[in-house]
Amino acid sequence: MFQLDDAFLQDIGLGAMPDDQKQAFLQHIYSELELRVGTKLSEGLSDDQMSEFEAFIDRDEERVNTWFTQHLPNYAEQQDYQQLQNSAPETATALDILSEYGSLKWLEVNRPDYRQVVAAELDTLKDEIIKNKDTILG
Amino acid sequence: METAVLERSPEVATLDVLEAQLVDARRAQAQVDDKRLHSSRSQETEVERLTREAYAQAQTAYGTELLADQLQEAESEAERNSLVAQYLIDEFRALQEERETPTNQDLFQRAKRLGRSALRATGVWLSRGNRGTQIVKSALVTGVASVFFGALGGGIAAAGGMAAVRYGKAYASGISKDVETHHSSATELTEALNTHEYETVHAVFEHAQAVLQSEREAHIDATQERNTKARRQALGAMVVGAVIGTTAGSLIHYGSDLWTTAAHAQEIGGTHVATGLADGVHETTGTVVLPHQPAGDVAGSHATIGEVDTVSHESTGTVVIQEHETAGTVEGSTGAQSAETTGLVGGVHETSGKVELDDVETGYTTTGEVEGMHETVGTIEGVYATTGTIEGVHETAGTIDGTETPEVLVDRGVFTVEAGNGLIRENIQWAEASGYDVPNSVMEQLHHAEVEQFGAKGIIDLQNYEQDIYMHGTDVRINAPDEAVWREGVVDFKVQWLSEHGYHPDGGDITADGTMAEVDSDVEVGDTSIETTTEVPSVQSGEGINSFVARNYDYILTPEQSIQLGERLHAEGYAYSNNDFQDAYGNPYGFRETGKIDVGMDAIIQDMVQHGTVEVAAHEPTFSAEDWSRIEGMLAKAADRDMLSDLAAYDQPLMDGVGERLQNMYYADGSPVVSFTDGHWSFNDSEHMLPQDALDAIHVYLNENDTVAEKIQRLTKML
Repeated sequence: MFQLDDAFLQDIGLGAMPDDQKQAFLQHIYSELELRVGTKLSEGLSDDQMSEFEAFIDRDEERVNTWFTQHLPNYAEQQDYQQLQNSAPETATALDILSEYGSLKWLEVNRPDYRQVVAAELDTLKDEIIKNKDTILG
Repeated sequence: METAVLERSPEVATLDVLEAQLVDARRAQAQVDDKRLHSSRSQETEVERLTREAYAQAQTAYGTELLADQLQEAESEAERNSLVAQYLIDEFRALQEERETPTNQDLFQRAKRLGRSALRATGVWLSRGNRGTQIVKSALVTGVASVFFGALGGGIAAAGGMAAVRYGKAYASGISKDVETHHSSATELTEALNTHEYETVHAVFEHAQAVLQSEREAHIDATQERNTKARRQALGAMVVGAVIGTTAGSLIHYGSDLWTTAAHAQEIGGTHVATGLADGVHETTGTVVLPHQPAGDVAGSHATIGEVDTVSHESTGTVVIQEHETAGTVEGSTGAQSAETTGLVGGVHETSGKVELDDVETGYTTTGEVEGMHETVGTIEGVYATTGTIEGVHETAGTIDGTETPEVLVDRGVFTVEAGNGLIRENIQWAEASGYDVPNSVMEQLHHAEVEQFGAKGIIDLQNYEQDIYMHGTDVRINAPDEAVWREGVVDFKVQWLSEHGYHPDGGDITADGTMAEVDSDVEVGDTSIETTTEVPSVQSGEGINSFVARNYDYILTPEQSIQLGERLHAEGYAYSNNDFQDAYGNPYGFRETGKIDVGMDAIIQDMVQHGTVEVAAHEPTFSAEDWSRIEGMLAKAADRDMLSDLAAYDQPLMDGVGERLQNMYYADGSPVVSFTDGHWSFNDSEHMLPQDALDAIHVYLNENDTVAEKIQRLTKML
């Protein structure tokens, strides 16, 4: 789909940017995209919904289990969960895997349009960069 | 002396019991504070209100008992107030300590540690642009962990797939640390108490607690705002990582909501059709024998160490080849023997065989060596930069576009000096009129070179208004708005100077008489073969940093202050420490001493000191807390200044809207903040800070006209 790399910079007309600034600029774009996507996705979400999300972030076992009990009690039988479990690193705990899986499922429940949001915000960001590329390079 | 009546607590006899009650109340208060700080509620709940009141009562009960004798012996109301103030300030600190749990601290420190690498890398980009812009940039990357994780996704993936959520965790925990806001010192609180008269000691406590409560509310608001941003960033980090795959290290394909690895360590049979994401390291150690059709973009390192028998390799999306190394035999239409790329080519492309490029429309940068035949059969448009060595035959059989430029004369005519303009501004306008695209900072350097070459009054002819040309510091300023012409030799000097610094109007060449040379379009190279072993010089980079180094500042800070400030900024996550740059890049720019703040940051502080916005006492070797608070405040103001500059550059309608509000506002040197020309407002940048009334007007305007989301988008334009 997309990767933030030199080719991306070429694509948006910033290929002439000095090499030593490319990586930093890409990092900035990535961070900016994260914030914009997060801002957009969090619009309309209540404190309680965001709190649910934080439970996965915080690996809050009790709240993670509660969420699965309410929303996806048979998660262990899900093919994608099993694949996630199988491909997880050895150091990952059961709670790590469950939290990772839960955060994605939480997204599907609360913001099923998240892919479109990322795509839209990315397009906006690219447009802005292209529009301002001369100044950025200046 | 008439003192307020002291009431001893009627219900409890011993100090120990009161202290125990206070400890309990403090703990309860810390818990509700933590909860509230992590929420986005601005109003306290009923439980929070009751807890606060209970805590206040416990403070008063214990305080009046603890201080009973001293309060009785106080010789003045001021002394009494001071005792109460000191007690409550101590108690406030105790509450802060109660709130700072070891868990949060550990996570915060861990996130900080992890984030430093990214900050170092980010530092170079941060150092571009003018000083205030750097601050804006810095504010954007202060969420260190998020940047780090985004940047090093591949490395994280190698360590494991538990990616995005953990990153969000570190980020959110780290940034959830309380925001530093102003808290009264005991002295300040005493002064506030001294402005009133009290009938009872309880009333003194009540007033003092009200003052502190007001500060706590401000503190909570600021922290909540920051936490909200942290949560959004964490959510964004997780989602962007999941969708794009970068944060999760490209090991995850979510095309069908499945988590699958992309590394095939065995033979692949059957059709391999990737309709979704196909990024990351794609290693094939077996044999791929059937059609491989990525319908999406293919990015990342694609290394084949076995045989690839590609019957039909069709990419309908963008093919981005970063490092395409083929050690085996490739048969088919794509490979080292005959690589045809009809899309974008970027990154490091090492080919020991023949490369055929059709229609390369963007910058093609070869940073490695190109050995062997390099054949271009299509059209090359845009920048073609080779920083390595070209050896062998370089054949271009197609057309080279991109150097066509119409004839343009540099401006030598009469121009108008607008009110408030200095010669730097006139130079900028001349450059624009002449087709140059030169950063203002470079034009400032040109101006200084002109002053050195021609003297202050030898640059323009104001026709009988010579007395209105004067020097302000190293800048030439003009009093009389009028028509003027450049004096003889000045335009030639500009052209020559800019040419020597790599700037030409519209990218073309300039003849000796200052005109643009005409360049033929559509140069047909035909079958020309060029053999060369000439090493092409590297492109110079880091001009932004060098321009800072070149500025001649009279350093006011003591070495101790500079080091202390550098350490403090470094610890707070600002990428302004010399160490941040030096660790990542060595010391190519001549940073002065390890540990000090970097030159860009130093310049900002120097300006603040020079303009009196930060008062550094000469006898004080270090910054006080108040100094630090002022510095942070001024950083925010400087950021505002550049936000306005950005608005002027990128959003003329918004600039026009705010411009009206800023008319008749002036910098400290008397120059206007904005100008009105040809029906539009423009922003006049200055080395001085924006006046407070301008800042207020900008904020009022933005709040009136933008939703928060729109504001964020506008104010975080790509600078």
